[in-house]
Amino acid sequence: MTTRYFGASVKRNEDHRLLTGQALFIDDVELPGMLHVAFLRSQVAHARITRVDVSRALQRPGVVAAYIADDLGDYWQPGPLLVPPPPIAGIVFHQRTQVPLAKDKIRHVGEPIAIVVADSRYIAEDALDDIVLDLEMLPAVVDIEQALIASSPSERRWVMSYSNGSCTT
Amino acid sequence: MKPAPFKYIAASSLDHALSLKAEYGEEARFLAGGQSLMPAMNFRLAQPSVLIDVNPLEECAGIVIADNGEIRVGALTRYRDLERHADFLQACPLFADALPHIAHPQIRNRGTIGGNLSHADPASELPALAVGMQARLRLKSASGEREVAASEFFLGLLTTDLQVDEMLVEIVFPSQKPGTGTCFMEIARRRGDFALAGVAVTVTLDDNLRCTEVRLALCGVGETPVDASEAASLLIGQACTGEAIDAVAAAVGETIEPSGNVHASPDYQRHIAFVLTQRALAMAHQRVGHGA
Amino acid sequence: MEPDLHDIEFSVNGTTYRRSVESRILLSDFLRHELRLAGTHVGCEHGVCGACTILLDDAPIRSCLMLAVQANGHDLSTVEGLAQGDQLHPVQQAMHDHHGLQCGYCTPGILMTMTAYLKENASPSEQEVREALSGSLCRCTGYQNIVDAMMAAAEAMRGSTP
Repeated sequence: MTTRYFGASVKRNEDHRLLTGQALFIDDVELPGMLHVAFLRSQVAHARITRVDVSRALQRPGVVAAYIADDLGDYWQPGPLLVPPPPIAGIVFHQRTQVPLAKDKIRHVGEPIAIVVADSRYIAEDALDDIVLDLEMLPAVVDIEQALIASSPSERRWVMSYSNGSCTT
Repeated sequence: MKPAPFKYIAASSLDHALSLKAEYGEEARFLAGGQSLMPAMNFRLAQPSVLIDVNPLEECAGIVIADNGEIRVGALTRYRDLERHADFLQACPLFADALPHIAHPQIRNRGTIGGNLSHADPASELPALAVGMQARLRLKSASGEREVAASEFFLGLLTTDLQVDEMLVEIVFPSQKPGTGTCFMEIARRRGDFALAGVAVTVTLDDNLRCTEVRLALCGVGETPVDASEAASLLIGQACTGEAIDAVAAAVGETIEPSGNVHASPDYQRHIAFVLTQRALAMAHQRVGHGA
Repeated sequence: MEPDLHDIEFSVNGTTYRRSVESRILLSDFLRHELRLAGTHVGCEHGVCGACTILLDDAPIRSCLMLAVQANGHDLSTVEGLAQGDQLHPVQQAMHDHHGLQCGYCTPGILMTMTAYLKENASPSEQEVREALSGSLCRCTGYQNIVDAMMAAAEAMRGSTP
């Protein structure tokens, strides 16, 4: 490696296409037959899914497919633990990582429940309203102080975190 | 996020727009600047089946300063045009203070005063100005026309006295009396953000520098603009000393009942309303006789 | 519901287009997907981020808050129209010289805002530049270099005016 670049101010070579609107960002990609996706996301923090039915969405013109967790078969796996927890004596860490689509239970606002694939983003979003979703509401614990209050020894309290899983004390 | 489907109709005249609204009623919304309606539609919080585009209605835009000094503003006048109209800003100097606080220049290039007042966001500056300035609002429908005082127009959160078939077409501001100074101030997290509280003040002094009239309205501290002119009337007959101003600020603080939001607690809103009242009154007083 | 279609005609960067468009298509989506002018970006779709800013009859506006059908009869300017062949516009050149972009996502909206503003005010103060740019959010740069770039562009443009 030469020493020409250390400490030197090196001009970027990608600016031209970024400045002229010629760069390719993901949403700029246009391919023949390309489809668009919209997710049905939970509006509530914690609930049991008693019914999710995408059949009406599938009937909407322009909708190509609609999937829920059960449709994914072996592809349905909890996500990887991205950041391993620090080893602390006496603490048990449980993995509660993200899932591709909520199965049986919703665990946070915004958790995806169904995915609709359609000819356009507009139609995919229209189809979200076609999906029937029945929920049994569950209590939500949404701050750390609440989470640390143990109501009974046998009841688990766990703190949800996207990449780290969770821990109990 | 994309809007749900709707039927779009570009109005060819005000009568056309009004007859469409009479026909479609609740199912239809007017599209003016779109800077509040389009975000709501993009998030599907608003899903009108019919959108009546009133942007083509040039007859509803424009500023006229009448012979009697009244200022008549067409509802479809864009913030941008208000900002650039020297005679208007001189006649209605509160707007010179308030307009730069509305969102950002790109929003002000499309948004309209009529759309703003019809939307009636509690944090919005212009409803407070309308109430403070005792503006009159002209509402029209296919079957007639009526005038409403600003004080009667704002009924609740995002709710005005507009009936289902009506459109706000014009706002009339009274001329400013001699010996008057004005000031609008607000506090927001960042420039252009929704006001945590804002105060619009008009002070009129006699030749002995005693206050003969005062108007004070607030935005952001209630579901509608709050008219605190009664609390401010402590000033009447007095000189605008520091003590007199502090007394008014305290009275205004007592009058309001802010409910707080994610950016400010009720106490904090009360506190800044107090401080803004002090500062705005002092500034308005200073501006008396200087054409502002 | 059958799509509500409208025939529209308007110009973008001097070129006239005639199209049939569904009424609910946003102008931002129309420019990007129908006209393949993907330089205009979409960030928030509610008017706060500034990534979608274009010029409508020379005034900067949020294309995500306008319907494509409303462009009928108007002249639009987008980032693709700034450079003249190989020659970058002074605002583009200044942004490169002053490292005013990193990922480049917010950049087109900022460039359009800059050109429109400098046409109206050729000698802005730094405070005026900050005000003018306040409608665009940038996650990467921390804004200082963008402010420097706009000041430099203003100077360059003053210098080259006969």
